[in-house]
Amino acid sequence: MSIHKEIFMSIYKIMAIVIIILSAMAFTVPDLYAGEYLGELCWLVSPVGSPQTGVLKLSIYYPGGLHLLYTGKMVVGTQQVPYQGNFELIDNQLRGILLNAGFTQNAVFNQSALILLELDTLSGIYAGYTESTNIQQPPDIQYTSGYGALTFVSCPAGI
Amino acid sequence: MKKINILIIGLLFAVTVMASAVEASEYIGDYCWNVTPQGTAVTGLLRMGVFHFGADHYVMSGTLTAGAVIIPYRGNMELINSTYVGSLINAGISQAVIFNQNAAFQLDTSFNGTYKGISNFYNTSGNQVTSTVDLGTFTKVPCP
Repeated sequence: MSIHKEIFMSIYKIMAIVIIILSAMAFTVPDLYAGEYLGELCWLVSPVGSPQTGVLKLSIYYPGGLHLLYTGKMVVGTQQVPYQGNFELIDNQLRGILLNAGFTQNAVFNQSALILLELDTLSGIYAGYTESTNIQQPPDIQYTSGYGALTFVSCPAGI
Repeated sequence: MKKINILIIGLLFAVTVMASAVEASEYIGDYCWNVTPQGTAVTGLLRMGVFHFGADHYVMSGTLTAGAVIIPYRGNMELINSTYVGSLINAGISQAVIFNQNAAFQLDTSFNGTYKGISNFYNTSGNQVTSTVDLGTFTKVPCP
């Protein structure tokens, strides 16, 4: 074998080894996913014990895996309060945490709620509590709890 | 294919079909505000990395720096009727005190505005909770 042929064979062997290593890495490195904005979804919010309903409009982001993140707002009459939270896919349910904070001229409040949505309907229930106070020092903190139904609906026009 | 993968694909398909105004999301950078609590001269610097989900929706993660103290924050922001309305949440610990804060803010289109919130402080040694109402202003500044 000539010296040139030996050099070419060595190069081919090295290239083959590099390709095999890169192929192995491609199949063994965990999947990397850039994430994707899925759009805006809406739910009719029906609190138990109250005739007033609201519309929860959330914009959903899928970062990968079994996780969803969202930000959005609750619309009740002319009031619009921002909300944020997450969903995790657990046992055929989307289970998430819904958080908000807001204020009026004389009061300030925040809410923490659990959401459970069935995967086949995207409808379900929520339960949470609200912490609120008049704007005064020291604050007069009040806690109220509430729960109700979330019904997956098409987003109404204009909200 | 695992059942969970089928569920995920089904969920993504349903959400994609039902969702409106699908568009790209992107990180749009770090933004900073001077934080001035009402009645004090103390000013902290709020630095938030802002992620634009799409449409009028934003999610933020960042820090509040006050002197040598740096506290992580997360929050969101919705553009509602020409006002950026949002919330900020933190949690922290200082020696025997565990605290958290939930605050709401409203910013004009120059990104200046006011905030109001509630802070709770749990003293582990005395097993007592004290609370404060937090009021102040956000003034947008270039990030240092």
